[in-house]
Amino acid sequence: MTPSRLPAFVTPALAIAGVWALLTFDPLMHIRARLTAIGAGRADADVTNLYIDPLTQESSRGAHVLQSLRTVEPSWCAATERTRFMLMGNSQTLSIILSPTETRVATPEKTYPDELLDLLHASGASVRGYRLSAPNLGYTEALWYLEYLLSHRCLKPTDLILQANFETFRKTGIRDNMLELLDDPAFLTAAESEAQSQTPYGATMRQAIARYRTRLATTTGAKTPAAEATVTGVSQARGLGGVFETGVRTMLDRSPLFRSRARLKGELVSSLYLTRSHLLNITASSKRSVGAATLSLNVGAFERIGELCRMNGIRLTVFNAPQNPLAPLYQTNDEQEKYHRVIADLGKNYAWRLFDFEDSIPKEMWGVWIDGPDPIHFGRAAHARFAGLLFKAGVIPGGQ
Amino acid sequence: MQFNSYSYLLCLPVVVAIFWALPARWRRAYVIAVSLAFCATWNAYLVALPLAFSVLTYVCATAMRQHPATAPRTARIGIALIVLVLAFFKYRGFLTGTTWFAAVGLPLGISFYSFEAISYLIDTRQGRTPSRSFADLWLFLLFWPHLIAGPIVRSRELIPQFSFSKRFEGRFVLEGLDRLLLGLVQKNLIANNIGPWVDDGFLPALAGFNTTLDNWCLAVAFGVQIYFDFAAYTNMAIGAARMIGVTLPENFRAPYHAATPVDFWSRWHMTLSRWIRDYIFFPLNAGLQDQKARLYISLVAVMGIVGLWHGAGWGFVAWGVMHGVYLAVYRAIAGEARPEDGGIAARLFWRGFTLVGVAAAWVPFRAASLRQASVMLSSMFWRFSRGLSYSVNFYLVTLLACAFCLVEPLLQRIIQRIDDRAEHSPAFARATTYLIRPTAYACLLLLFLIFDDRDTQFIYFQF
Repeated sequence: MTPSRLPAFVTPALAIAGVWALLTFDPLMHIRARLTAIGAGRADADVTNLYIDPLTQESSRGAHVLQSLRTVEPSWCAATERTRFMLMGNSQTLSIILSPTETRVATPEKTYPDELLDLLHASGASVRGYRLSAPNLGYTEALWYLEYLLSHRCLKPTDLILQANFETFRKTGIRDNMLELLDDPAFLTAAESEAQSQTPYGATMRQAIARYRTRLATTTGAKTPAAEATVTGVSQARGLGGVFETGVRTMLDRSPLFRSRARLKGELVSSLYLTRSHLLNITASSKRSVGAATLSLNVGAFERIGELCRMNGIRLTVFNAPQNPLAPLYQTNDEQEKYHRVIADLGKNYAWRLFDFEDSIPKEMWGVWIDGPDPIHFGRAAHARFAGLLFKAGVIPGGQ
Repeated sequence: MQFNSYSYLLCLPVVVAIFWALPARWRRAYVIAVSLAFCATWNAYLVALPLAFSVLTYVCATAMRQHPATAPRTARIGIALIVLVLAFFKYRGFLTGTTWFAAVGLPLGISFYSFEAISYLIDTRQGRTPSRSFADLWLFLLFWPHLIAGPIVRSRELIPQFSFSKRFEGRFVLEGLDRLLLGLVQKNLIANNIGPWVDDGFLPALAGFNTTLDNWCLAVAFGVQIYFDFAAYTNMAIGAARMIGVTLPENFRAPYHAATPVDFWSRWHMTLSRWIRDYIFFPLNAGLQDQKARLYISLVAVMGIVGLWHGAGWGFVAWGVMHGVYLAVYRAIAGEARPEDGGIAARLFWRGFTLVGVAAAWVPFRAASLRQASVMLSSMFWRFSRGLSYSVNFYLVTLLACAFCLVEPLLQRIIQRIDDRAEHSPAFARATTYLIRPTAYACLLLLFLIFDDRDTQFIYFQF
């Protein structure tokens, strides 16, 4: 081989070896660890060995909701309990960030919805519950979930417990992973009907359905369910190319090394987040405001949840989630007042009952993570305490 | 098969290896076969329509050569038929207000290869086509790297390369890989990550609630998204062609560094703007240099057509007309003077005018309706409101992408210097072969892989 031809083979070969090395040795993990070490908090405060029960939790954190709901559906069909509740909320309902005085333990740890169920069962209440939460769950996504529940007779709860959170009113859109629910024909029909609404949440749903349709691989005129097309749920091409692409992706996804790219993305995103925190001092606890656009979107979706609950005989209970007194998120007092006004109005007009737990967790029980006091997540003791508060307040009917 | 799909990326090395292993006389047939196979992976339309266009263009071109006296009329008939087919597929709803034949969708790439077919006819009429062969014409339209979203090539720049007589050199593959990997990262890392924010912010029902800063940021973010999306496709097209020794024309040259509106159009979608300039603007305005008013009206009208080329919607027309107005304003005030001839204040003014104008024009282009566009534009320019509606990450990601736009020419200069140095120093050449390029490639590939979790339709596929 002449010297002028050699680089055409050597350079790509070395590059592929480089990718293999990067995927194997994961330098991003080390970068993230270094960045974590700079922070004031503890890197190990985020509890990873959480208690998992597919019959009481959507444990994929919104990544594989369809699979989770299909898993739980048979048990709900056979359910005899008088009260069957679904609890929807953000990552506060599914994460534990240890407080400075708490240490890690080896046994799987329970979040407050788990502890609440334990308390209810211990009291002998005839209750079945399911935590249908996801990190940063917006109210359009909560409406998306509710539509799914309503399109499946067995999953229709007697009670919907909806967490209200200042931060949630800033969320937009329906995340890619939740599009897979549209593979379910009954839900697709319900979502398409809901998307007709000339409201911000209707437009968001229309956009989500359009995204889903472009994702579908069309093979010989037949549509392939997006969630089943590949492990990643992404089908990039149409026609014969779609079939080929699906095959290639399925084959690649069998390799653990290839699958590890998701972990690397997590490391990179965390590193970027930490860089943002350290360089710009924009942290999880930075004060923020709710813009008119996202407020309108989320209030509209919240109202629709209320209407649907009323129309379907579901009791809607809303609780204002705890906030860390050390890291209040409101930009101004006006923001705080506006938020409370919105919640009060929504509660009055649409909820069966409204609870306010904003100041219910003492400051020392809140998590302190990498970049200081966590405004959303609290520690082990706080989860137990909050479950007790929910139980005592009778948030779940028939439980007290 | 999309350029950033795994199936394509796995097939490409095989296609390139077989190409170079074949004797030169078989390569043209092989590239035709590969192009047909590539089209067939999408759908039958993508094979049939370019073939039909090739036959139509070939028949007209042959008739023009054999009967020069009737050549102008033949050219007009050929162009009219192509435009008619294009109008049927692309503008029937827009022109008639109905949705008849709604089931027949927009064939991929039709706007691109119909313009190439038209240019072939005009060039034939002017005696500037390099070949009379049907196979050459067919491959000119069907050549897989540029079929779906350009660059819009001329017959005289592409057909002479179809002899495929070059001997294999390593640099073809490396130059191709440079562009391919850059494109993959531009698409997956930048365009795809800004896309969802833009989609949310441009929701018609939300647009009315956006603040002034939201709307400016959305306009800029969409400008960045569409640039990286389209530039990514172009880079991947140029890269694939380069691997088999074919050079396609450039389509972008750091457009957001433009100093004036005229400069912007010499940097943005360059192959479309030269097509419009050569085949519409110059013929329309020949001998009218002194009639300024007519020139300005013509500029606006032609840019309106450029907008309409992008799609059947008033938003696209408004985008084109806005650019036409910018060009006319610039011509009226600055005349033929080059930006560097003016003082620093003039240069800053035109740079600002161009950037602001380009960003504002993206609003009707992306908005769902002219009404939504007018609401957003009014908030940007006179009905000011304070605050940020979306996650701070949206504004930061947009800023980062803008910063990348800013340093892009610098990065290109660095790459150029590395290549220049490698050419003169064998030791440095070895370092680039065994260390610098593999490291850069590995990092780019990794970025492509870890951000490969979104739907990846290219924006320009819909045009």
